This record gives sequence, structure tokens and C-alpha cells, in this order.
Amino acid sequence: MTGLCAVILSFSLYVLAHWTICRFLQLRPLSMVLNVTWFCFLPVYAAMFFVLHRNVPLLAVDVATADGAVNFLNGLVINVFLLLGYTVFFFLVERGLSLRVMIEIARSKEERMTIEEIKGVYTYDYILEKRLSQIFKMGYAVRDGNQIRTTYKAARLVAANRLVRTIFRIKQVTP
Amino acid sequence: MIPGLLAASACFVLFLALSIGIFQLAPDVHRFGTMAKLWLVLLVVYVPLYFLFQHLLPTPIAAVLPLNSLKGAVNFGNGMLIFTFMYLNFCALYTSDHGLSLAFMFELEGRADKQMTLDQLRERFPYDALLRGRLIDLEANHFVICEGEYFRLAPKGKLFATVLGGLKRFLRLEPGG
Repeated sequence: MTGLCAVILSFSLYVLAHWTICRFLQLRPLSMVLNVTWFCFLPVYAAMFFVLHRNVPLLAVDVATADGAVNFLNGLVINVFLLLGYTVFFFLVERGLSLRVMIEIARSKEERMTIEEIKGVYTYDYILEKRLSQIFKMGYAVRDGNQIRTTYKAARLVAANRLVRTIFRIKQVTP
Repeated sequence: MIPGLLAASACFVLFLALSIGIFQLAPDVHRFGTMAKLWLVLLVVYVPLYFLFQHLLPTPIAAVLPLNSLKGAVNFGNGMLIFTFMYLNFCALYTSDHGLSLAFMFELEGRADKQMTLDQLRERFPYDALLRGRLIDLEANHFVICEGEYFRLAPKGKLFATVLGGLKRFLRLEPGG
């Protein structure tokens, strides 16, 4: 319970800090900001845990016992799960294609759009540029003249995903 | 706390095994609906597993705490929470497989020379088909309504566009996408 309370507090502070960074500092790359800030908040979790277990009688635990250590680790595991979930949510907001389309429709004059109108405000050049520059930056592909060529890193990622797709019989969704 | 964590892990292993089994036998089922139902069923299975582990483990590791005590209830609920996090993160990873960047990499890796020009990529993934596919998907999930050539937001779509669009603007992530 101590770990649970500590992680709720420390993760809430982490989200507030991350939002403040996004809003006022606009640091890039976004994934690095997300992860580095999270690492900076790991000691905050530990501090919260010890403050709570020393000052709140209901949350007192003996970290030297198996139960106490598991309590601390349990909070850390929840912290990792929360980070994974928050990362997916954050990039859905930042990068989601469907969400961008819905936002464009919501902000259009008549609150309705044709595919041609969507293509006018949300261009394919922009989508490709954003995705490809990220792929290059992360080392999954390189530019070779006018060709785009995948690297060994991409081959491993694709192989791993292919295995998951085979196990779960997932069909390719994108055309 | 340990019995709850073990029961949660056991439930997640069961979840993976059952998902694989169902998707292998019936690949056309509604994937997220099936996974959500499995999660709910396994939350029920969690209860006997929790008590089983509590009785199997030695007392110093798994002290038997009654569920009507605060600590006992929290220990019980914690396992359910962990299992739910495992399920939600699995769903998130499952969706990330549908991304455009990964589709590009699959296409490139599938080629004999593992390379393409930008124009070939555009030709392979035509924007019209991509947008149409997304809009059909949004319509099927009640986010948009199709009116002839036009697409307009359904109440669910409006809510998402307002809340998440507001957050996007607040975090200065616009235009994004």
C-alpha cells in the first residue's frame, strides 16, 4: 500500500513536471524528454515511499522484510506500467493520424470535411516527412541517394513484429 | 502482496495463452472486444488464484490477511490492478503494431534489395486509401458519420477531438499528427 500511494504521488508530480516542460520549455526530442524526466522522478518515488512509511502509521512497513521489499518493488513496477501507458497516450495525442483528422474536422468551418479537404490541410508530404525523419533519426533506415534503405536494426524490429503477428494472426491493417 | 502478484502474473499468462488460442482458431473475431471479455473473465479467475497462492505460500511470505481488513483488501486489489495494467499495456503494444512507420519498414524489409524511393513509397501507400481506411475505421467505431462525400464528427468523436485536441494545444504539440 505504501508503494502504491508513493507511486500515485510521484507519478502525478512527474506528469505535472512533464506538462510544464512541454508547455513552457518545448524541449526536443519528445521521447527523450519523456524518459529522462521519468528517470529523474525515480528518486522522488523512493523519497515518497520513505516519507510515507516513516510518517504515516497506516503505511509503516519494514523494508528489510520480504513483504516490505515487495511493497517497494510493487510501486516501481506500477511506475513502469504507468510510464508505458502514459508514453502511448502522449504519442497518440502528439502523432495520432486519426486524432489529427478528427481535430481538423472539428475545427473546420462547417464542422465537416471531404477527403480532398482533409488532404489540403493535412498533407501527405508532412506525414511522410515526420515519419521518415523519425525512422532515420532512430537508425531504422538510411538515405542512399534517392533511395531509402532499412538497416539491421529495422530488420530485427520487423522480424520481432512478424513473429508477434504470426503468433496472434494479426493482419496488416495499413494498405 | 505476493499472492496477488503471483495471481496477476498467472492471469496474464492465461490471458496470453487464451488470446493466442482464440486468434489462431478464429482470426476474424473483434480483437479488442475479445481481449476485453477475456480480461473480465480472468478478473473472476483471479479471485480463487489469489486464495490458492495465499494458502500455498509459507506464512512469512504470504501472511493470511482477511479481506475485511484494509491491508488485506489493498493486497487483494493490488494484484487486480497489476493484472489490469498488464492487460492495458498489452493492448497499447498491440495497437502500436498498426503504425504507419512500421508499415513502411515492413514494406522495405519485404523487398529483395530492402530499398525504395520516396515516390515508390507514396505509390505503395496511396494517401487516399490511407485516409479512407482510417475514416471507415473511425465510422465503424462511432467517431465520425459519413454523409455522402462529407465526414462529420459523431458525439464521441467531438468529445475526443475537444479533450485531446485541447490537451494537444495546451502542451504546444500542434499541429502534430
